Parts: sequence; structure tokens; C-alpha cells
Amino acid sequence: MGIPLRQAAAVSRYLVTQKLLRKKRYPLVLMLEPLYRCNLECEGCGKIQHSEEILDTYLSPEECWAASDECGAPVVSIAGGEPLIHPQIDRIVEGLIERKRFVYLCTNAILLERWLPKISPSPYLTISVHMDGLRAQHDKSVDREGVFDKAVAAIRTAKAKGYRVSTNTTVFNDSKPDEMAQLFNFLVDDLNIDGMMVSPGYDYPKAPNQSVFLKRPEMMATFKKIFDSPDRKRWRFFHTPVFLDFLQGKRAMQCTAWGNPTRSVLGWQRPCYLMNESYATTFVELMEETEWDRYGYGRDARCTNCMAHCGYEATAVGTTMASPLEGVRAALGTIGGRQSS
Amino acid sequence: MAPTAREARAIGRACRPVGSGEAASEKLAALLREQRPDTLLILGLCGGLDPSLATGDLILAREVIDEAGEALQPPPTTLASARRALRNEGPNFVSSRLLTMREPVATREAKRDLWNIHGAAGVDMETAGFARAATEQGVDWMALRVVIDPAGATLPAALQKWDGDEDEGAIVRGIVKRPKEWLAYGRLAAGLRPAFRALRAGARIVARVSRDTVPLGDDLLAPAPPR
Repeated sequence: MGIPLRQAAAVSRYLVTQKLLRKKRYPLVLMLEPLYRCNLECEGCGKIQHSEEILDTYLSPEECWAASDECGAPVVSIAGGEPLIHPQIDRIVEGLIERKRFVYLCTNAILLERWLPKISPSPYLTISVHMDGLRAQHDKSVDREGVFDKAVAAIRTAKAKGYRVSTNTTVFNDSKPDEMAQLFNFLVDDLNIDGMMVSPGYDYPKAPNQSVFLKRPEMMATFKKIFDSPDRKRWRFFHTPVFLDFLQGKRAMQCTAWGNPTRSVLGWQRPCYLMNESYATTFVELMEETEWDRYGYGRDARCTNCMAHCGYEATAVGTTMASPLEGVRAALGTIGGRQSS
Repeated sequence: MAPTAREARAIGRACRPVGSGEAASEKLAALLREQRPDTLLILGLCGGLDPSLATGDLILAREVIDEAGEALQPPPTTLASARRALRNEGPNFVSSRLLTMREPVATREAKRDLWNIHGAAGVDMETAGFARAATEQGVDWMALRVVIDPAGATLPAALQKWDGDEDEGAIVRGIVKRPKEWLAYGRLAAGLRPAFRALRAGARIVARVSRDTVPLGDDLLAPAPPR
């Protein structure tokens, strides 16, 4: 299966409601960062370069639930930092599930096996494991040996216990298309994960290694090579076909920065998950007082090489909703567990 | 300034047509030498490359680029003031790049490829040449274009080879010959009125801002332009 039917139905219902209410801007996924602290220092990460004081600040469960209530997005992606370091992450997740939010718990999986007994599997919970490549590539990307094996073991345990597990892969300039194809085959065939997410790395100015990022035309060429693989039909992605087309340069899209609003320990991050220009104190303030027309490809130099799913998947979902043909294509992907590209 | 008489008429009496292409840039340079305006406003229609833009959306150029990749920027203080005024006063606009090509960009595939390469919100056939002429004459410039054919639209055949010629008879004859494209022409024609309305409103705002903006910061430190 691709995106679970229950989630697809709930998100479709939410989108239709927003259209009927004639809302110009509305969130699709809440990016929740209850902490910035992490147990890894990945070479392409721009999230962990904060002061010790900020790294020691955690959002409380109540703050996380309030953010979800305020935002109203049907999907919540818990990122960070490493969420499993948060001492109350199980309570946070339970509270979100009680609110019938579809929770994607993003983790490097180092602590996953220890954490699993704290929460039961749920159709509302997907554990999303960071997986940038096969052993050598992944361990290089996270700058620590043994993380790939640890993550694979944790995925096997989680799958055996009935959890929904997906993976999240960031493609960098040293990601070789054939190795990416091997990774996707391994994740689908060997680990039997429920779905995959893939995104090009964003060139965070604060990332420790600036040489790992691809420029936009290189990204498109790399993704085209990856998706030209004969094994492509077997891969299950938690993305719309429109977004996968976009990654390959087959479709023009503009970013929808407000589609994935970010609530971190510092407030509602402006303008998006990847850029922190300033912080709003409330979600309404974020949506109403941000100068959205200033951001996006062609509009802001920092967006030049960004093709990340946190900006473009919301656009792809909007395009899918607006086109009956794309709607059918996405529905086939959900029902059949595959998406043509 | 606007390229065609139709565009200039739609904007108002203060707007002058100068044509399209290289000859138009030379004509404009001569006019600028003669009249010495403080600021040149480059106005007109454009094709949309940014897929989020619809017919009638305005593009305030933060940068213009030509086919060779040469880029020119308007004065930052005036640009910031214009952006603020447009936001406060309502027209649907973005502040982005404009791309100038020698020939019309006719198909949605060509528009997609240009968007992916340049990240320009719109494409036209004059702005870079006009901006260069203004810069060479030491005249500040601002460019505001309105989208007439959005990124997802392919231009009808008779407009695909348009070379700046103002004789609309040839276009009309092209329309008559191709009934299959009447719907596409109808869509374009229907978009003209709201597009010009938006452009007129935006042009008034940008003209006022350009007149009223006092240079600040880096503008004061820059050498005075040759007059």
C-alpha cells in the first residue's frame, strides 16, 4: 500500500472542506519540532547548530497538542532534533493520536527499539526512519559507523510488532542513482516497509558540510536517473505522482511554504521548515502576517536550490486535487501501492 | 514605456509605446537621452513561467535576465517601497525575476524548462533590453508586467511567431484560418481586460512610489549617474 486509505480519505475530506470554506492558505502537515537536541551530527543537517540553552529547551506535551489544535492540519510530522530523546515523546504522540492526527514520527532509529514498548501500534502512527543510503553511504551521511545496522534492526523489530514504518531519504550530490535504486529495493523487498519518502537535501547555510548539496538542474538529472530504474514500479512512495514528476523536472511547480508550518521550541517558524527568518507567537500570526509572496523559487535566493517535499508536496497535493486525471493517478497509487512516474 | 500601442493605450496617456526587439531598445535610448526622466517604468504583458500565477497576476521585477544570463536589478530602495505599496493596496502580485527572450515562448513545455532553469516568474521580449538602455543612460528603472498566458497555456499558432509587429491584421487572419484555436484565442482575449485593469492599477502604484522614494543607504553612497 501507499498512503493508507484512512489517511487519504481524511486528508481529502480536509482539503475539500478548506476549498468549500474558500480558504486561500491552509496547512496540510504540521512540522512539530519539540526539541533541537540530537544524538547525531549529520553532515547535511541545519537544525542542530543552536546554542546549548536552546538545545536544552523542549516543548511540553501540552504545548505540542496546543500547536496541533491551533494549526488544525490533519497530518503531524514530528521532527527535530531526534524526537526519541524527548522524555515525554510517547505522551506527545498519544495526545496527537487521540486528536485523530496522522503522526509521522521521524527518527534516526538509534533509540527506537528501546522506545517501542512505550506505545502501541496505531493506524494513526507511522514511524519514519531516516535512511540516506545503504550501509556505507548512510553511515557517512550521519557521520557515525553502525547507525545503518542499528536502524535496519529497529525497522525489522517495529515491523514484526505491527507498526507502520516508512523511511525518509535525503538525496545529496554523492548519492549515486544506482545505489539509491538498490536502497529502495532493499527497503521494499527486504524490510517490507510501508512506504518511502524522498527529498533532495536543502543547502542549509549552517550545515557542517556545504559541498554535499546538489544544484537544481543536478537534482533533476539525479532523480530522473533514479526513477528510470527498471525496478521503479515496485517502489512505494508516500508522495503524489505529481511531486515525483516535479523532482525529475517533468513538471513546473512553485513552493507552498505555508503548507507545512513549523512549530519549534522557538515558536512558529517563518517562513518555512527550512528557513528561520523569524518566529511568530501564534499560528494565526504566522499565516496572516508573513509576507508569503516574498518566498519561493525565483523570489528569494535561498529558495533557488530547494525542491524539498516540505515546500512542494503541498503544491503537488493542490495540483492533484485540481485535476481529475491526477486525482485518479494518485488514487491508483494509494489503492495499488504504486505510483507511476 | 510599453512595447505596443495596445499596451500603452490600456495603461494610460502617460505611457508611450516604443516597440519590441533591438530597434526598440535603441529608440528608447534616444528618447531617454532627450527626455532625461528620473525613472523609467517598463510596463506590459508577459507570459507566465511561475506556475502559481494566473492571468492578471502582476510581476514586479526584482531582477531581469536575458537569454545570455546577464542580470540587471532595479534600485533596491524603490523596489522595496513598491513591493510594500503593492502589498498594502491589494493587487495580486509577486516580486520575482523576469526573463527576456528574442522570440515568444509558445508551449507549456518550453515554459516549464525555462522555469526550471531560470526561476523567472514571467517571460517577455523587451524588459532586459529596455532596462539595459536605461542603465546605460543613468536612468533608474522599474518593471511591472502582467501575466496574460499562464505557465500551463500554449500560445495559439499565429502568436507563436510574433516578432513585435503591431499589425494586428496578420494575427486576425491567422485566427480566421484556424477554427480549432478559436477557444484558445477566446481565452486570451477574455483575459486581456482584467489583465490590463490589474496592470493599470499596479502601474499607478509603482509610478507614485518611484516618484516619492528618497534614496537611502547604499543608494546615497553610489556615484551619481552621468546626466
